[in-house]
Amino acid sequence: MLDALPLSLSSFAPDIDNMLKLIYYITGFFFVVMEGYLVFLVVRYRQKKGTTAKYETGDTWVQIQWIIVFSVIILGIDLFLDFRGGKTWADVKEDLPPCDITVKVQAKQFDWTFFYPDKDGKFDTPAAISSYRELHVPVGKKIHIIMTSLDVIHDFFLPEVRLKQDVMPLRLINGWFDTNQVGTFHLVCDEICGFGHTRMTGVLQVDDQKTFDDWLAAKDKEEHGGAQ
Amino acid sequence: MSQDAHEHKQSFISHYIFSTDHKMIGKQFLLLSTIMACLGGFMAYLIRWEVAFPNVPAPFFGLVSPDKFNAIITLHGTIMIFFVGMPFLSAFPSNFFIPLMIGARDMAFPKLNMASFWLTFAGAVLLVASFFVPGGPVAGGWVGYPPLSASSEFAGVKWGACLWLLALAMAFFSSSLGGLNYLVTAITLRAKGMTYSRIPMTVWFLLASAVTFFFSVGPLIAGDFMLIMDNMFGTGFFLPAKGGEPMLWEHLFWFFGHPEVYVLFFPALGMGLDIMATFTRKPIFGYKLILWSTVSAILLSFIVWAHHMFLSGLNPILATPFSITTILISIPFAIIIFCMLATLRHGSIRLEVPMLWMLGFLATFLVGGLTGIFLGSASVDIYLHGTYFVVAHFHYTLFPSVFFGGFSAVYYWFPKMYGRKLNEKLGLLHLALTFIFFNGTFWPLFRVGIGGMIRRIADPSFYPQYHQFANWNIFATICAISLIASQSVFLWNLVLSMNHGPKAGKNPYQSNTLEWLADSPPPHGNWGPVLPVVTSGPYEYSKPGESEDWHSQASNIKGETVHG
Repeated sequence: MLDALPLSLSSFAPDIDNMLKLIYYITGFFFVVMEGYLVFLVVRYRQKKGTTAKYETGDTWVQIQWIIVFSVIILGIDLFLDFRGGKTWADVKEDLPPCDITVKVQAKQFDWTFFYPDKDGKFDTPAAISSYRELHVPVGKKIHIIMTSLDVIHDFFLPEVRLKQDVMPLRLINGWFDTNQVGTFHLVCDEICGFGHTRMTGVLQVDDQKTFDDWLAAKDKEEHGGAQ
Repeated sequence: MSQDAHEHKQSFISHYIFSTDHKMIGKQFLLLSTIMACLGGFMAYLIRWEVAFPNVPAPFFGLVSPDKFNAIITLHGTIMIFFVGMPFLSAFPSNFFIPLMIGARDMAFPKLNMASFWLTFAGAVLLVASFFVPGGPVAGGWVGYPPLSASSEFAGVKWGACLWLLALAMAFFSSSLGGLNYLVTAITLRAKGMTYSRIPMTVWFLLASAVTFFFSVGPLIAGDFMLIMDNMFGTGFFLPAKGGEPMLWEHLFWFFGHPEVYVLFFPALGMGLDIMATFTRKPIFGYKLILWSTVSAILLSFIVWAHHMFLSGLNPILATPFSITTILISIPFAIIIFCMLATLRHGSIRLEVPMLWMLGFLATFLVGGLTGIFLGSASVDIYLHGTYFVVAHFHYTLFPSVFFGGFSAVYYWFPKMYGRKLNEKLGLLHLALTFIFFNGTFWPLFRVGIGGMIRRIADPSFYPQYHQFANWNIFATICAISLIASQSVFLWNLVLSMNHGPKAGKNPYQSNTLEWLADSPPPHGNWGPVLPVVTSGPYEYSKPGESEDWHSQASNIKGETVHG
């Protein structure tokens, strides 16, 4: 089951995977024990000649004390999972670390456009660089993304990075990620957004710094004729 | 509720169509949900076909193109929740069994009850009509997130969206009116001696379901009409370009949407507990503990909704408190499951068909409950949200509730409803096929979801990264088609046994609760001249010092002697 997980590309992907695995083993344990006990009870206490059921109402504290004990154990496991997972959540979603570059992600029915700032670090100027459906990032760097949608709700999902965020219309939502190897990875839209939703895919292209810089320069030249 | 009600003659229309008899209305809901289940099941087949065999025309339909796919997943969800789950699990048993189990002659408001059925019927008609309007049916997912659902500018659907929203409104009104009726009936029309601590679990949990629905649906009814106005009059409540807020809808929807899962789960649980007591020949272990756990689960269910919205752009600081409340809800349900296991322990378990269905419900629902912990944990949800893992998870909660729970109730009470028993061999075959093919359909989807495959995409062949799951998807689809086909065994059994099944008598299981004192099927007015007087609790099975292992709740009516 767990071998189906795609490779983990970001520094927080192993934390999310480990949390998933932890819950998998805990719930797997309860699954086996409880299903096993259920089958045992049904077989052991099936109706047989000469035996009768025992009259137990479970109305007294003595009769239900084991339930209380198990409930406290479950409460302990619950809180442990909450706080352990809470840290990972905070790392990914709450705390925006200092980032090396910022990319603006713009979603619309049914494609993605990525904007890179001009030399002054500004978006929305004629000198800003845009890339259609291809998100290029330098490997090992922390990428700050600012996501927005022009029409309906979309969802920015990079499975290998383990990053997902709904992209809301006319709102700016911050996010970040990093990468640990070069390569071409997947971007999908994970919120139904209309007729062409299925085709709203893209590419995460992770390159070394030089390739990335060359690509950005070439893009700049292509869009602005190298006038700057 | 006139005393001579069982004497007067009724015309065909007042008996079968505009009936105010709670039992006939219960059967009407059962019939409606069966018809809608066929429709919803056919849509499930189309969805699974397209996922497994993309761009290959589906037999009996044709090509499931992306626009059709979007519409079909939307309507499959809406139909299964509101026009199968609600009538089958809430309206049908509430109508049929609450009056019988508390010793009443009918509902407190029989005409309101009739209105409740016809509202659901009107909703179903509107929903089916939406297939035939210009632009086709709504296609934005059953959650209907705006702006996609709020304006034809984005989805190309106007009339379909309005009909869908009106159908939802009908279903909401119907269930609200019904719930009010069940509650008033159970409070005011209980037989003499039917104190609160003697009410059977079926009735308690049907009331829990009705109350949970009633207190969660109000805001969404407002939201539903706001969305209708956005579509029809361009108001823009949910359109950011007009100063609206799409997340408002998400809050309203999930404030209802999460409790709704329990609205469907509670009846299955309550009926399951009664079935369990009858077939283990034991009292329910921890009657009061179960009820207080349920109260706490209901309260918690109102403060967990944002776990559906962890990634919606909600302030991320809110994820941790909602994660905590979500995972805490495991405690009351764990207590209830422990009580059920304790009820089995030291029992004398009769493995008859209804009991086996009930055990199937317990065994499969457990998977749904445990996998919820993955999704309730906000950090893991970052990855699993919107994947097939979610699809597998909620089908493991809803399918066991609606179908395993619902079928256990139908098999259990069929003799009371029609005076004849269902065929046992066909019942076992139906259970075995359903159990195998249900797990075969949804277990592989956990794996596909962990692999990152997202739901709601019409054409997986477009995604090279999902080609590795093609065989899993084909396997799941074959099982899904088999699962749907297996239900014909049940329909055949219904038709066969309704006419030719062995006569059941009043109380075929030696069960304690009041409905087993009435004739099978009970006449109009249920009880003949004398109402039952309750003298003991519902679960006095195998009490030491008694000659029989059961003890009817009322002793003034004799079980098997009087007939007709």
